[in-house]
Amino acid sequence: MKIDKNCRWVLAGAVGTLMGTQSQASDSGWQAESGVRYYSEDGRVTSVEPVLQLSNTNEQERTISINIAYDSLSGASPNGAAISDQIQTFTSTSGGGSASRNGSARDGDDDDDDDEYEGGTVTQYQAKPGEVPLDPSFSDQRFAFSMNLSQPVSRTLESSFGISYSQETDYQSMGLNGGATFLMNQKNTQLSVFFGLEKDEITAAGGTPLGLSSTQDEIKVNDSEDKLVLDMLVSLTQNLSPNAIGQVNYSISQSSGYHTDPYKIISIMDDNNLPVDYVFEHRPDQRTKQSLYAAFKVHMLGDTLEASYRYMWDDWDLSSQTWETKYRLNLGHFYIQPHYRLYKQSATHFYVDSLNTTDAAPEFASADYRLGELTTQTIGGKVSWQFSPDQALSLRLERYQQTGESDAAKMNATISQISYKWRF
Amino acid sequence: MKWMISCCFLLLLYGCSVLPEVKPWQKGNLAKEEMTFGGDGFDDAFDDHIYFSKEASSGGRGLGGGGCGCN
Repeated sequence: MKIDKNCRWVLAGAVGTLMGTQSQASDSGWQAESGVRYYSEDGRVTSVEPVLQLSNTNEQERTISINIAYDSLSGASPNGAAISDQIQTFTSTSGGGSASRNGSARDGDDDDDDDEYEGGTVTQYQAKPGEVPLDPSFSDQRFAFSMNLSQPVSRTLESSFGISYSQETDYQSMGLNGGATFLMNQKNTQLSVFFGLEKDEITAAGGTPLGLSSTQDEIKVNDSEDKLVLDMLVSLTQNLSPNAIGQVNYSISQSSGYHTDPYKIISIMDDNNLPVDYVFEHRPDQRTKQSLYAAFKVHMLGDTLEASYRYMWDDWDLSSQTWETKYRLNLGHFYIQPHYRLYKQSATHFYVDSLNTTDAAPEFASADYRLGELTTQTIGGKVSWQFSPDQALSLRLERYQQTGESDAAKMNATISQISYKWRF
Repeated sequence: MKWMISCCFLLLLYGCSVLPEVKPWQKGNLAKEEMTFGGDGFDDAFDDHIYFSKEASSGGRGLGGGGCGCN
């Protein structure tokens, strides 16, 4: 009886719109997990995020879960411009890049004429020769809330429904999701289908710039932009043995609307490879992403090994592969869990490092390094201490390393998290 | 790519038909939180947010996610 209860599949929701195959074995009653997440890039962005997750399962096996997070970010972010042999001076309106032509750099060594801005304050900053141009004034706060409800419809069918909302200074997102899970083969096989709908509104500081227009012209086309995202995920989970379980997912995501980063710019280089102007980037207004994901868990020698692989591709000619593994070493009331992740992506068809004055004007272009070739690695681990049957304290520390074809892609970051979980 | 998807699903369906059925009384280890997909939901959410912000891919184990400007 106890096994049956523990083995029920509960379609608990996840944070944000990340609802999907997250299944949890849970007892009746309340469970909470709170913590602080800290993400810090060397010399760039730092984020601090307190989080609270609450969930309750009643005797009818109906589960409600609530997630609340507040994210505070600040630091320096690559603006997209290429490295130059000259000092480059940029003007920023709350992250909205505009830039002066090269050679008009101001005197002085200060990289940052005005470290803080909000709500349209104009600032100037410089990149020294050989330096990746970074906008040092990036600053934002994000509040995110999501709620999911799941419940059994019959012995072999479960349903779920969720909502999500997040708000930033210049970005708002609202989402709905829902799905169903079919339990088959004496609950050894689980087939799930989920759908998601998300509507985002982007309100760039100073208005939306015209794509591929010169930053000096300051042409604004709208006060705000929209994006609509439709998601579908099909998931098959199979108990492979008393100690092994596998999962295969296929997902497709179609988005339409504004995909451009209104703050990213592209250098226009002359024949001597010196920047003579900067234009705002411009991305396609449609994107279809698909992915195939497989995961496997095995319980052996009292420990748990987890491995997963994801292949993703889209109609921007980008494809990526992700390998990830964790090994949970159980030591009584403690466990140690090393983690390794490797990610490789190809470039989108419109990624450029810079444009040349002699180039024909492209339809789309972006110098955002995240759309170019990229390899990232994460290595680290987690330590957890269950100091009572209903309470656990966890600490996680990882190192994230990026390299890619763009100079801006070279970045290292520290990922850390402390969390406390309890039942009541 | 289509052949990869087809092969994976066929393999899994084939596996379902030939694998010994795990009886309820054999599911003690499978019932552990560490053996469920999504048992690390708190950590997964943090990872997904970081990787969505820093890479051009998202989703896979769940719906695509997003809901942020993520400059």
